[in-house]
Amino acid sequence: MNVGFYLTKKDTNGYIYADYLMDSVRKHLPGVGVHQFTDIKSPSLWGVDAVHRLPPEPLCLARAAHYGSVEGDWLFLDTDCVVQSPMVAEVFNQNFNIAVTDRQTPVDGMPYCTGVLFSRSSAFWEKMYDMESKMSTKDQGWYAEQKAMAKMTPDVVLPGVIFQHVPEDDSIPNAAIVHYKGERKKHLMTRIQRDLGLVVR
Amino acid sequence: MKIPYRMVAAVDNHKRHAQMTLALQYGWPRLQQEPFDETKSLSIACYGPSLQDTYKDLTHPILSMSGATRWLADHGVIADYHIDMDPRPFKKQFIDPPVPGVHYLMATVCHPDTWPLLKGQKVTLWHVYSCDETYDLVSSIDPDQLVVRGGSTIGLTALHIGGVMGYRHFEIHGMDGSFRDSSRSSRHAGVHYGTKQNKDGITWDVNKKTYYTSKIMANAVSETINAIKNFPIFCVFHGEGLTQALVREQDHPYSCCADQTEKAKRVRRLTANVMLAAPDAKTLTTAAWQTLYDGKPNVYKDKATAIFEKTKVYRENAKFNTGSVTLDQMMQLMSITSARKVNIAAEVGTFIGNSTLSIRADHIYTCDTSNDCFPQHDGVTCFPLQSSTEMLGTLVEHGQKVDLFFFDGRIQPPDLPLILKLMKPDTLFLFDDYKDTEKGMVNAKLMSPLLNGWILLEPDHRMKTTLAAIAPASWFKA
Repeated sequence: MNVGFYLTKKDTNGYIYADYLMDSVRKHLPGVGVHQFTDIKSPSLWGVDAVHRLPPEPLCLARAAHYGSVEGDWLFLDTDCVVQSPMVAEVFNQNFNIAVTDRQTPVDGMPYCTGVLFSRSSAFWEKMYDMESKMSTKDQGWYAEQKAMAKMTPDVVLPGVIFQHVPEDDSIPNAAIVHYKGERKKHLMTRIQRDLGLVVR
Repeated sequence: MKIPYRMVAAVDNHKRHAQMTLALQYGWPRLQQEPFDETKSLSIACYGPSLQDTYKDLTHPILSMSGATRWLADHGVIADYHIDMDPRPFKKQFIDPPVPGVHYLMATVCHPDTWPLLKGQKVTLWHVYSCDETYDLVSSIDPDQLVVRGGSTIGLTALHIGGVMGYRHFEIHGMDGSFRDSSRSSRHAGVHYGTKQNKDGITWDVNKKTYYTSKIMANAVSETINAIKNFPIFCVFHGEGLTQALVREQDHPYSCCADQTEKAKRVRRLTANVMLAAPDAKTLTTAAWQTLYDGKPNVYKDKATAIFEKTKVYRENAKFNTGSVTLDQMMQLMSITSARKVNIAAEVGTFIGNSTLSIRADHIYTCDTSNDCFPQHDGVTCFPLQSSTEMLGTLVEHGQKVDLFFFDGRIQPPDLPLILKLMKPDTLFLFDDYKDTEKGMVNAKLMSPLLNGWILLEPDHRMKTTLAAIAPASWFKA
């Protein structure tokens, strides 16, 4: 099993979150490789096990290209995720090509949040890439991946409350993976600073 | 901003002081200073015409004034507080009858006819400044009570009263400072019993639009702009008028208009740090720098000059010959690192070592991605021809903690988590080239999300320097 995340220099704070994600993987999933997927020029995060580089593309295409370029058991995470339990690895005991999580709060037309993806099929990502590349440039923005995923059929749908918990505040929820998406990144920053013993107003 | 017109008080000071004395016989409590709460916000409802447009956006608690309190009540909004400080008798009409449920915050200077109307209401009194003799009067008739020096209008004074109540954040409605339009027929959201102020023909152009105002309103607008610039308050202005147009045009960091959505969001989140001002400092920035120095940096001139002379020869071996820190910056570094014990310093951008040799620390780690021309020195570990990430990553792996960072090179995104891991709650950050769009500005901007609880000190204008600092706010708190 490996953990991978997509991170380029456009997302400077993403390096802070990804570093915290990497530390959480090291803590709860010892021995698991942590890989950065990125473009040609972006710097690598200090301490990652491997860096995968492909030419820059719109976000959804770049992610699909990267995810389809690797073989084996992969957990693809957004950088603003935190792993909190070794039970994450047990997901791969199930039989699937792609496992996703449902949303705590349903969003019309986007039943799955692709911030957490369990994958062992490069072919799936080739299909995703093909579907996303046919979308308009406008649609290839942030939500393209979610919209494309809705049209594919994931083999397993895990409970988001456990495997992609979206927190409401900076307290640490009882979940295997926490996703500090959107505005919640401020809670992640607070959590990081608190863990490091830094003063936070 | 200069106050454009001469101000004339509506009532002379003797009469004002007499009215203050009379108000006290009713025995109402006095307004007391509350501690500041950075999380709460007060809505101020002034009576300008734009209140009609925005009153539905008012959020409690609401402090209203003049005819606004009655007008809001007529439109289904009961203000939490009403404020007044006008000594003229006609003003009593605005509280006749009072609005049930409103807490009346009245200046003692108000006309004596006011007080019988407020019997049975919740009333708190406060004293407003009329002239320097007001202080003597209050100390004799009402010892140990506050005197509020607000401004020429009740809207502006409401901000100061809000400050007494512990607020720094204000949502301001109806503070237009102008007529609705060129007809000069509408100066308020509703009925007003005062002078029309529509005869002096004053206009004020802002951003290619003409606003129709008066001498009194123009003065008040100028005072408001000065207040938001100079006081530690955070204001979001609602509606459209002269004041709002100037707020938008002047773009002060701590105030904006409500439709400047992103900025408004930021302004609402801002907090203030009150700093101890050094006795010989003329501004907060120089006061803050004085706190960082061990005295006057100039005393290090000879030592800095000696380093300057010594390092000149290192340039000959430079692979990438570039500029170095100035003599003043070297003196600053010496003074700052002499003022506080620095165990470990980390420097990005060694070059010929002028800054390295100016930093007083038990040990200095320094890297330079382009050069290796700085020779070995005691107490200095160099990372020649290595990136900041390589140096900082190595320090993290060795469990180091850093007391002082000095950045004279670009911080890279992967450096950010490493800096977080290396820093402590009292780490000081110094940035060279803090000007225009140069690397110091970029670095400080990159670092700011990490430094919640630190404050930025722009370069000390008394010196030839582009050195900026981000220092723990706790160092400056009163």
